[in-house]
Amino acid sequence: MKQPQAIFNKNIFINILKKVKMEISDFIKNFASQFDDTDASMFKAQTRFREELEEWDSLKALSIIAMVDEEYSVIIKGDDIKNCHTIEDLFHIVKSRK
Amino acid sequence: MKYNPFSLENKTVFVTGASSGIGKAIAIECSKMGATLIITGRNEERLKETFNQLEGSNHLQVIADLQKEEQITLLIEQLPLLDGIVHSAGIVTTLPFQFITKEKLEEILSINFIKPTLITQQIIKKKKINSGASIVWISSISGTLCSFFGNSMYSSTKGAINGIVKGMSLDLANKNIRVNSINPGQIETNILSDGVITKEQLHEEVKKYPLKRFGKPEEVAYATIYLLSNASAWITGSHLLIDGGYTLL
Repeated sequence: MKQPQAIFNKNIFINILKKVKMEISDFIKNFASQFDDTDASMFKAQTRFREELEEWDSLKALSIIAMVDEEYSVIIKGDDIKNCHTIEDLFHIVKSRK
Repeated sequence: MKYNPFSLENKTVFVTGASSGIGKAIAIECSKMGATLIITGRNEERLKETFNQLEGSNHLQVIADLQKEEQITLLIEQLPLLDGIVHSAGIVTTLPFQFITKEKLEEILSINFIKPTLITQQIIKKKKINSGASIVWISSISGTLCSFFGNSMYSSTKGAINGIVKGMSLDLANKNIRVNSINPGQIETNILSDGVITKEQLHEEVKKYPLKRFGKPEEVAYATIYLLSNASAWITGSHLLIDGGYTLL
């Protein structure tokens, strides 16, 4: 009877670990999920998202700000995005504010 | 020459959201037209700043958070008999639709629409308003004629305002109380100062206005003066558009 409880706790523990340890791969996945028409292969740490992604626009910027707030509880501003070139640049800003 | 059909002399006007932006300009301009003001806002320092800029005497300032029931009750108790109410308190929350939450939706709907509606209802029920009074809502073009990216929650609150203006004006007509809204385009205030929208984006937005600029808070105040004055005595249930031509395109 105690087994399911133990598994449950382990999952919670993994989730907490994930939240504390912010991974670039997760960040890229979260970033990519804001897009509808861009192929997943386009999203890499070094992707210059504002220049390379045809789908990038002001609404995407709003979505990234909202995603960062929802997933990482970090507030970024429009200017933060404007000052980033690559997805990794943004990842470092978010990570530094966690 | 003393002729002035837009005078607000001998009128007592209650303005919410008077500590900044449009509400602040409305309070100041109305005082210049001779009105006695009761102004309210959340920020003590900024409300005082507005209060000190009011012309004439006998004005009243009440610091109140209109989200708190007990503060609303206290505020309404302090109100004298009114000739005008201006609902200018409001917030903007920029969030793409797929990210909206129950909490954020309830918050913006409460601040922009539900609380002002209930405050008005209480004022009328407690008979703190004169026959011939005018109620002015600061609505928007957003949610009534168009919308903006990430603005769905805000739009819904302004759409609700436009709706209740119609119903209220009909129900209050037999008391000779008029209800109208002003629907401005983008006005130069600090309401977007949270930085979600960049200065560059706002600069691009200006270009979409045929008159090539955003509106000034005073320009909304002048329209408010008109709707509060006897010059608009036969106008009720209307929505006055002030948008520099934005919605023409």
